[in-house]
Amino acid sequence: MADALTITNVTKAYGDKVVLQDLSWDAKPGEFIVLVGPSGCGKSTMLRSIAGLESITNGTINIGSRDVTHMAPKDRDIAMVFQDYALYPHKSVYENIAFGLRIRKFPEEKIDRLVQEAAAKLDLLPLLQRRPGALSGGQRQRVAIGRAIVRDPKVFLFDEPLSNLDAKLRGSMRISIAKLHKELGATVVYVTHDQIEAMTLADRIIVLEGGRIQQMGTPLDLYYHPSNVFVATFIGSPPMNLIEGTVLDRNGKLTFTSDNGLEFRIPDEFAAGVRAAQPKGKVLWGLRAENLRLADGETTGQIFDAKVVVTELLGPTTSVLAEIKGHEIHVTLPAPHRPARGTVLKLEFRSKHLYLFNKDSQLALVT
Amino acid sequence: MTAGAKTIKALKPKDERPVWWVHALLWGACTISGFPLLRVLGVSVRPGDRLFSSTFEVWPHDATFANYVEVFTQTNFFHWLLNSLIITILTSAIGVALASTAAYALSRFKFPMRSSILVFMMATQMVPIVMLLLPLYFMLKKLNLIDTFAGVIVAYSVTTLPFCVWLLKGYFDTIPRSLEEAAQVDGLTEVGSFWKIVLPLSTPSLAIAMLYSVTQAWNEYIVARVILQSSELYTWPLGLFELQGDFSARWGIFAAASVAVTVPVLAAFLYSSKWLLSGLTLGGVKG
Repeated sequence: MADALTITNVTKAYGDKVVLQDLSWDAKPGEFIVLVGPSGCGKSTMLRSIAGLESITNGTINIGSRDVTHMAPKDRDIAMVFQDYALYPHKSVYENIAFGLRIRKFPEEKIDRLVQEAAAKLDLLPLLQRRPGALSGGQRQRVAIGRAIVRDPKVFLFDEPLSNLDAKLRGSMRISIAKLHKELGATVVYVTHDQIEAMTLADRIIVLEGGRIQQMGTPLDLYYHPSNVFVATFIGSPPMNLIEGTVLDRNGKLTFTSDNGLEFRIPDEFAAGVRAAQPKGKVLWGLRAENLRLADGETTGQIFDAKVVVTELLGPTTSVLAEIKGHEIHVTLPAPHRPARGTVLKLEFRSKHLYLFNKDSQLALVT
Repeated sequence: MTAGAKTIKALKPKDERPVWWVHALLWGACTISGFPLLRVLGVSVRPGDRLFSSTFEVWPHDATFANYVEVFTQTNFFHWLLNSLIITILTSAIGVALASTAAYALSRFKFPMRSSILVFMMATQMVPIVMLLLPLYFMLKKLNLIDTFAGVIVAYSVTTLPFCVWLLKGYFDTIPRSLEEAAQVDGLTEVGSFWKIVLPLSTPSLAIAMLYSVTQAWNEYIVARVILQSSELYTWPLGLFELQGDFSARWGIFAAASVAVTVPVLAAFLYSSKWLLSGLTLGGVKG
């Protein structure tokens, strides 16, 4: 049965180096939480602290109603899937999966039944007698997941489980993990640096940077309402374009003017929000690649001339790096368009979302 | 496909014919190391009147086992052998137990002076045992361990320890930490994961450490000579030395006894060879 996980004011420091700064968050029973961030952001340390493999300097960790902060890993009733699989090389696949059950002295028939069930779920039945050395990367990762699910723990921890697999396998394993989560209804904490994994798997994402939570929310929440520049550029691919400039009120019309003289009249539907934020000094205008479209018959009147620098054909879409008044901007176009280098495209702004950030504080001005 | 085949071909040596001088060198080395052993075997089966013959004949036409019979029946050979066996088994068991736990601590935990300890242990190996005899004697005397098995076992265990610690630490370093962490999440304690995961994976290096301790304890003479004084505690090297008469050494008996004591060590080597297979750790983690 899945349990809630509650992290309260957790701090972790190695000497003077603070890697987790007063983190508080929770996972509801059965929720899939993804911790995402660049290397060194503290996400793995957070996960290892939940597992009990690292002691924390301050704060508490609760699983359900139990305070596990000072418990040994074995007493926390968790399972963990490691980045390097960490299979016992001297044991067969069967024994790897059965290991945790044997330690807990389950009766032999029950062990056999549980191992067979887990193996069936993960298509491992034909491989049970093999040693890990005789398996492919994807098979090893499935064994590692099998070893975790067989014990039916309160919380599952995944530490970048797919980062050693090739792109195709990663895609299919991602779907397997999502299916497995639906099937088991387990509470999962999943660490990754891959924002696509985060977006596709998570019920809620926690973005970490510098040992602090930058933002926590549903994937779409983070995508459409990033609370700061870091989250805005980290979530989404290609990353959000940022243009530096100022917002001025000209005869009651709010206008963003970039340092290079690019002018953008802020559409009326956003004006009230921007006015309320009272932007002073330098601001950053965030543009997602899909916020600019080719201007067709019905235009809003604001057209940017964009000179194509690089065109990447991706199949269903075309990714274009273009230059607007000296600002390099990523734009995603529908597939039939394959503008050659040097072509000047007529682009217009079309979006239900406007992203503006204060340059100094890096915080969002409108949400 | 073609590209792959080409690569494989390129990796093979161009000429696979044996290089004659390599073979000559190997045969030369084998002869130099093997001849004395065969010579001892030959001497052990020679009749008493031809012990000092200097022919290269390995197996004499009139070979006899009289020397063996004499060693086994007229001397305390089996008693010495038993003493040696007790000392060797205890030395290697204690030595490997201490070495593996010490090596694990040095491999896994960070503590002050860790590298100094390693260097210091290595340095003790540079001091010849003869130089340590006197201090060792006084130390064991204070501990009332002179003329006891315990004294020899302590002396042997501590002298083999540094090498074994270095050997095992190096091996433990290659075992990924995540295996132990996985075992701890699976339900083992830290000690449990050392016992059930690290040690089973380290059998090749444990076997080497064990063999090293065994041969050191089995063949040692000088330290035993100083510590063991009562003849009933003699190990086989001491006992064999006793066989030297006042005027002439009894080479036939000497040789026969030497051959006889080689057998247990040889058996230990052959038995442990199956543990020496490495590569067992392959495949557990992403390489």
